[in-house]
Amino acid sequence: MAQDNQPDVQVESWLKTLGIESLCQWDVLVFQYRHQSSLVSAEHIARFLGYANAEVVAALDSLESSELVKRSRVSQGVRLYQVTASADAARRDAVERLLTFVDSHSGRLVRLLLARRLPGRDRPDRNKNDSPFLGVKGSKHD
Amino acid sequence: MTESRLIQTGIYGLDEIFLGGILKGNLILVEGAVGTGKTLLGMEFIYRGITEHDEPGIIVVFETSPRKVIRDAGGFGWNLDELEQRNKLKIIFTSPQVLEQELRSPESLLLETAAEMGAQRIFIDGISLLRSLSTGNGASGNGAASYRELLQQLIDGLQRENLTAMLSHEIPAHHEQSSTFEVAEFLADTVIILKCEPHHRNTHRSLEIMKSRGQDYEAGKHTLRITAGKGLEVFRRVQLRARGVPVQPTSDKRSPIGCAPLDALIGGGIYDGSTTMVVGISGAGKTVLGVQLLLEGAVKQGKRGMLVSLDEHPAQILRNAATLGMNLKEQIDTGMVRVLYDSPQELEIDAHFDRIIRTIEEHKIERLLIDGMTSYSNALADQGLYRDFIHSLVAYSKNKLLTTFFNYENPELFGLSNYMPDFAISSIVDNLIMMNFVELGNALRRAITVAKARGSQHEFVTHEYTIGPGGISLLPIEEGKTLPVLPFQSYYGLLSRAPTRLSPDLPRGRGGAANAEAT
Repeated sequence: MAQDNQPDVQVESWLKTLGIESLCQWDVLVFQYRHQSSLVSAEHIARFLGYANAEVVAALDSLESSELVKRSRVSQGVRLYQVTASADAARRDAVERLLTFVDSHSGRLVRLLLARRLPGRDRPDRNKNDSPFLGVKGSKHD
Repeated sequence: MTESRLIQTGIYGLDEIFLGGILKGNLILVEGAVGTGKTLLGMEFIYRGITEHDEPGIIVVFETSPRKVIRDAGGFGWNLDELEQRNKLKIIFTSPQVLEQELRSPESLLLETAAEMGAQRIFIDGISLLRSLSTGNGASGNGAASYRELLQQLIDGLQRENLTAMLSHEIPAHHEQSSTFEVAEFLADTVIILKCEPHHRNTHRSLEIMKSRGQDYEAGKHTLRITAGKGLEVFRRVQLRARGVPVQPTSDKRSPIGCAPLDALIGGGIYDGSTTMVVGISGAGKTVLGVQLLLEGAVKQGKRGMLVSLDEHPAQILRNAATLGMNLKEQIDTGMVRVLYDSPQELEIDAHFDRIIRTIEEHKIERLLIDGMTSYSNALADQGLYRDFIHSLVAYSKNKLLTTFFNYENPELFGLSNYMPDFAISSIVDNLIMMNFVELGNALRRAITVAKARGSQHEFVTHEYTIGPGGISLLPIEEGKTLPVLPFQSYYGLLSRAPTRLSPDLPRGRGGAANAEAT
C-alpha cells in the first residue's frame, strides 16, 4: 500500500488541492509559471502548447477560478496573464511544491501521472501499474 | 532641486563614457550579434535602475522564457524574483505582433501595467523580430506597415508614456550593413554597438557608442567584460585623454629615492610628480631600487605607494625583498604599500589600466613602480597599444603628481646602444637611470649612471653599486683616486663608443691633435 510520503501519492494530493484534473490545465499552469507575466491570447497559448483553443480557454477558466492565474481585461484580443500566489497556505504550499518539479526531471513525471489518469493523446503506453516516478528514490508501485 | 538631465545606467564604467549618463528621453538602441551581451546590458539597465535609482522597470521578451531571464540574472547576484514580488519589476512575455498592436492601442495593457507600477524604464529584447511583420524598409502601399513605420510606432508609444527605453537589435554575425539596421540606427537617439571579435586565440568584447543625440561622449571601442557575480564592466579605452584636467601641475619639491648617494648623483633627490625610467638588463637590480623608492616613501615620508607587476606574484616580491632585509610586508599590512599583479597572459589593457587608476585614487597613492615594461610589450604584442598605454600612464601620473618609476629591461648585457630598442619613450620621462653589468677580470660588477634628470644638476659620473641588505648601495669614489677630467683631444675613437686615452708622450699632429696612426 502506498505511503503518504511516496511521490505519486504526494503529487496526487497536491493536484487535488489545486483542483488540477487535466494535463492541459497542468501544461497551461506551467506555461504561465515559466512566463510569469505574459501578454498573449488563449489562441497563442494553444498554438504554443499544441492544444485545441477551446481546451486552453477551459483550462484558463479553471485556473482563474482556482486563483492560480490572474487575467486582465481583453485588449486587441490579448490579455495579461499573471501567476498569482494563493492566500490559502495549503494551496500555496501545493503549488510551490509542484512547480519545483517543473525545472527538474520530475516535471515530466507529473505529466505522465496526469496523462495516465485521463484517456487521451498523451497517455503513455505502459502498464498502468508502473510508477511514473521510476528511478525516484522511495517510489513504489500501487 | 534641479532634476538631472541625465539617466544613469548604473553599469560599471558605462556612465563614465557617456560623461555622466544618457540624456533623458533618448531612445537607446543596443546592437550586436548573438552572444555579445545585448540582453545582459538591457537586464542590468533595468536592474540598476530599480536598485540604485528607485526607477521601476519592465522587461519585454519575445523568445526567452522569463524564468530563464530570472535564472540567468541570479548568476550575477541579481534577485529579479524579489523585485517582481515588490512590484518594482515586471518581465512580460509576448510576441512582436502583440507588442506592435499594444503600442498603437490607446488602451494598451502593457502601458497600463507600466503606469500602474510607476515604471520609468523599459527594455525590449529583440526588436529585430518586428521585421517579420513588416513589408520592407520603405512605404509598402499594401496596407501593411514598413519596418520604419513599425519602429516609429514603437518609439512613439514608448515616448508617450515617458519611459526611458532600451531596445536590443540583433545583427547577424559577419553581416553586411543592411538598410534595416540603418533604419533602426537612424530612428534611435543613442546607439550602442557590442562586438565580440577574435583576438589571437581568444575573443575580445567591446562596446562603442555610435551616436547619442544632444550630448558628447567618449568615442571609440572600449573594452567590455562580463563578470560572474557582478555583471557588465566597461573599461574606457586607454588611449583617451583625460577630460577636465586643468593645466598640468608641477612640483618644486624634491624627495629622496631612498639611496642617499644616488639622490646626490641625481641632483638632490627627485622632484615629486616626476617620471623616471630605470633601464637595465635583468638582474641589474631595477626592482630592488623600485622597492627602496616605495619603502622610503612609506616609512620616512608617509607617502603611499604601489608596485604594479606582470612578472612576479606578490608573494615572490615579498620574499625577495625580505631576503634583502627590506620589510615590504609590514608596509603592505599597514596599507602604505599595495602590490597589484595581473597575469600577462591575455592581458586586457583597458581593464588593467582602469584597475591601476582606481587603486591609485581609492588609496591615494603617491609613489608608483611599474615593474616590467618589457612584459607589457610582450603581453600586448601590439606596439600601438603598448605605446598608448605607456603614454597614458605617464600623462596620468604627471597629472596626479605621482612619483613614478618605470622599469625597462634592456636586452643588452654590457653597455647600452639604445635606451629602449623596441619602443623609444625615453623622451617623455623626466629622469633616466641606467643600471649595467660591467665585466672586470672574471667577474660581473654593476654600474649605475644618471643619464638624464630634467631640471636638476645631476652628475654624469658612473658609480659601482652592490645589492645587499637594505637594497642597492653605491660604492664611494675615493678622493684623489679619480681620473683627471681631460679635454676631448686627449682621446681618440670618440664616436666608436670605446674612446681610448692618448699617452701624453705620443707625437701630436696639426692643431694639437694626436696622430693615432703614429702609435
